[in-house]
Amino acid sequence: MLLPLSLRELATPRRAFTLMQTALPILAIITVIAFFVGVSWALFLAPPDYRQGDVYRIMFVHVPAASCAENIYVLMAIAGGIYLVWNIKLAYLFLRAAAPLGFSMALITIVSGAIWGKPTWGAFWVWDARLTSMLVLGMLYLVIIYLHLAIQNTRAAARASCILTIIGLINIPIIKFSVEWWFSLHQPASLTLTGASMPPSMWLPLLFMILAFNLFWITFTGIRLSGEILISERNSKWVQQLITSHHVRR
Amino acid sequence: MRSRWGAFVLLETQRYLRTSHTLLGPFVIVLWIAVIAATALPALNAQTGDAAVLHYAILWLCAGLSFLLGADRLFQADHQNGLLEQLFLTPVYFILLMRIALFALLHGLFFCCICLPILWLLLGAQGDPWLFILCLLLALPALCLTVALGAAINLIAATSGLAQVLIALPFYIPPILLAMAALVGDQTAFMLQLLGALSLLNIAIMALAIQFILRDAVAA
Repeated sequence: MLLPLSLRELATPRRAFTLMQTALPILAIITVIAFFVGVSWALFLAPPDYRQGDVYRIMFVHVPAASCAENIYVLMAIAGGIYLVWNIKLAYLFLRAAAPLGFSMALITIVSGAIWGKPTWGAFWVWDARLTSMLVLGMLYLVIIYLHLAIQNTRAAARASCILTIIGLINIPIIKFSVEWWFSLHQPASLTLTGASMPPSMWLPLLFMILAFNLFWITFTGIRLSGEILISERNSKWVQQLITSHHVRR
Repeated sequence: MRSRWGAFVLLETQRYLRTSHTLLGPFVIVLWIAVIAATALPALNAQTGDAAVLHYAILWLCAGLSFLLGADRLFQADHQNGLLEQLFLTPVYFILLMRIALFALLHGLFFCCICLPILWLLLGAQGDPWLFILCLLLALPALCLTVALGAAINLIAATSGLAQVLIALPFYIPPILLAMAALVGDQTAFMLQLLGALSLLNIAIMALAIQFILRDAVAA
């Protein structure tokens, strides 16, 4: 299966680096604005829940972080597939850059869920299918990060982590359907494509926070990806020139 | 052709059984875990009161550990003596699947026929042993292919054995989660179907993944 030449050219590390240098400052500004609006809306304008009071506001961190943790994993698996099929180095560098962000999101989900669980369920943690599968997702991220560190041969590390990421996709439908397949304390999805089980004054700020969290991980992955590109291309001419020009400017 | 495959199976079985420590080592460790669990169980019982669930959980722990410990040198010797390189001159996908199937069969049989009755007695013989064996058989491909993937990655990782454990453990959770739901939940048939589907998915993709990793190990 051949990749169109234009796409392959776009996926060269130099092109991607240049593109990110332009896009990242803009993305960072939009992220800050999105967070400012989202947090203000969620904390001050959204009404308290009639049963949970203000405790439910943890949802504005918990749900976006959970969706980001899953999104990042799926995108990493797609990148893994692209690397294995077309041998595009940038895809692996993306996987490498995104894994810590994915782990952070899984960790935020688990911690915020525990904080939310105590007042609503009476326990920080229960061995529920949804919680356990999210924990597995966090562990998978850790294993992928570990593989980058443990395998000395870069190509072997790349292939192993791509394969592992793709296999780990099995866990994503389990997370998604866990609340339907098992009896669970965890509630089913409140926000779906077909509708929402809460008023617009609650789901609109939630949607904004999901946007802000997604922008956040995209921006930070972009920053990490720039660093990964510079490290992997450190012996190439364009990086040497970049470093020299940076020194001259300083 | 049939006799050639038969000879291969026989040779592999003999080769595997010659290294009897791969069966004996996990067996001893699993027994020790069961003894520790049985010692701690009265205290656990007092807290939860649901002994059958705990017994199933300990049995899964023992089964998982048994496969994990048994597979640590699944490809190591072949990698060292150069047999792995020659393996790539053959239809490697089927050879790998057969080797892992043999490992699963031998370890599964050993666990079900020898370890399980002892563990069952040690843990107070509660629950349904036949349902547990059915779940174990359905989960067997998923568990064995996972540890085989770990064993393959072990060849290229700079750590001895740690990579295998780290890789296998997260992939253990989904089959164990489904099996426990089948054992103690009320949707037994549905969970068994899901468990079977998960194992089939593992058979479809894991052997390919192992082949990729072994190719890298040979090339390195």
